Amino acid sequence: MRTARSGFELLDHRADIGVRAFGPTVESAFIQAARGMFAVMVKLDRVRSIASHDVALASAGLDELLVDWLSDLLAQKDLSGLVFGQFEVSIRDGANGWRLTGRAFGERLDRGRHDPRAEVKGISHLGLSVQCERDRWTACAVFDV
Amino acid sequence: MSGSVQLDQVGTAEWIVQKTGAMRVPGRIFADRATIDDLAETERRGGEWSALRQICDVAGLPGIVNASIALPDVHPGYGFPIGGVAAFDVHDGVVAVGGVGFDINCGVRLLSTPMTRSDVEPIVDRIGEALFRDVPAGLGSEGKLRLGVREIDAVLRRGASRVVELGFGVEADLAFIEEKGALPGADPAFVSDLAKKRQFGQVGTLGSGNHYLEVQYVDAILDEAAAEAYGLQVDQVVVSIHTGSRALGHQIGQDYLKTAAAAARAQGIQVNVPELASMPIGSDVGKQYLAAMACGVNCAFANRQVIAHLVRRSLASACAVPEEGVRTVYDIGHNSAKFEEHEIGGDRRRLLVHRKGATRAFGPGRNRAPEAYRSVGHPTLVGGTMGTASYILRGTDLGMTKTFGSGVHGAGRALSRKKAAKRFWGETVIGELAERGIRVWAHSRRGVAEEAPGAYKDIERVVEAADDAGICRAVARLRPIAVIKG
Repeated sequence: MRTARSGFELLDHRADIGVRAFGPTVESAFIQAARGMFAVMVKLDRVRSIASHDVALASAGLDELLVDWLSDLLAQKDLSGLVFGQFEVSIRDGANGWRLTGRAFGERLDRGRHDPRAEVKGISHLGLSVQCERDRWTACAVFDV
Repeated sequence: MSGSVQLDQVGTAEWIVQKTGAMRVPGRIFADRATIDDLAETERRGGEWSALRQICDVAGLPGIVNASIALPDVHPGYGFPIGGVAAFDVHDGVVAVGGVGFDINCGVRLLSTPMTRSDVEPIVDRIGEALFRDVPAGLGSEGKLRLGVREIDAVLRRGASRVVELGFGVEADLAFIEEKGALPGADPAFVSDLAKKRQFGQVGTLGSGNHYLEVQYVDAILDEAAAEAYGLQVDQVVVSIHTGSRALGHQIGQDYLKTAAAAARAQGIQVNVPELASMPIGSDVGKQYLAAMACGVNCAFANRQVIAHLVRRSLASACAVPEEGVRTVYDIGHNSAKFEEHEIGGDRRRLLVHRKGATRAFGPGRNRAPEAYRSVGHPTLVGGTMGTASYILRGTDLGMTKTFGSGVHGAGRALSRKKAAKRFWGETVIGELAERGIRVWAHSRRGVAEEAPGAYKDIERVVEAADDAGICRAVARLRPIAVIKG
């Protein structure tokens, strides 16, 4: 079933790289966006789930929440040296906006094993969108590399 | 004509975008015909990645003076075009996060050496391997200088001079760094703890993407007087370092985009392009961003200063070049907003000049250039690709009136990273460059493919257009011998 599928594709962008992530739920689209971001940096299937990082965020809109989610993971890469390949996410619509709680699983970057590529430096606000159409959620972002 | 945008040629390489809609001033583009055609075609096709649209959007920001300017390497950025210059009145103007960019004060340091091409070519492997070993580069690399909270505040406040005190480089370097390596007004109190912590291990790291370290030789002198003032001779070996403020600059940008958007919402101002969210220069949030941005600028100066020191050590160990023989020719940033005085309609006015993917390029006689360079004009360093030339240009008097004394910064991409990675193989690129006498050391083969020379526009055209427009003059052409990539 098309609506049950989730995944991501990396998009052409003149100077940088974008991601279009999709899935049957908003959570699955956020997870795939994070997978896309780390796929820009490392070979995703070589990242083992040895360490974890908990995330708790609140943002006014879903677009902003996507930037905050990806930015948090990116910051963690710099702070702890971790790269991530698996994620758990829960998103709730509250009175004061959207809340995300989640956990990212990964390990310390191993430059020999992870085949490092370009470093994502930040998340752009241009080209950003989180949408739902016919039970299919799509999350798009452009990474500054 | 292109859609609703009217472009009129007014000089050999100069075009006006006529004021329309919300534009407060016209656009002024310095570029060749092919670039103009490309800009117009992209705008005609629609979509948000139009540099011409971005030139018009910037022209609508409050307090903009004279024109929204684009230089010959213009291409779409985030809100502001890359290769964009915009000056704002300090009383009623704004500061825009997108006008500075996320990699605050990304720039180039040029070092000269006492070696010639024939000295280096036989031992290029030894030199390249030493630099690759000694200069941290690529994803996950950590700097030789590990900072804590207190130490990073001193670096953010005092830039290159602080790391010189810590033993990285020499006092004599400082006179040859833009703003002497420390932009005034930096206040680390306005930089988030997260931004600082992300930088603890990144001072003195090159990064990845389009950042590089290159050993080059002076292939041609194009302006004898300026080259003599800059201390450059044909066949002399030089080293270029291209990097910026790393994670700290990005976090400052992210933090203040939110601040700017919240401030705009509080005032009931609708922000159509998020990265154009701007703050009045005199407002509390505007002042705070400028104080944080100055920290980002200083962080980048310190970063390049540490790398310059590592390069000296490397060259000393690889080929016994004395460290004092490796001199800083200049260090210049291409992502910043700086307070400057300019002559507008016969009056001297204090302006905040945003340069996004553009450098300062003051003409002869201006006191912001090092004293030794003052008679010929401010040097501008233009980075090429790993297979093509880089250039040293100088500022002109005409540039002072046309572009607020600004110059070009690079070639600009022609192919997306994804297309480049599909078209080129890292190993093949490295092999082809080796046949042309250019050796590459890289942590990522895919990174090499993405940065292949064929993925970039022709730098010769960019330099020629800047020269045709009279905003810069070419001083010297550099060609790579050894390239270090992340």
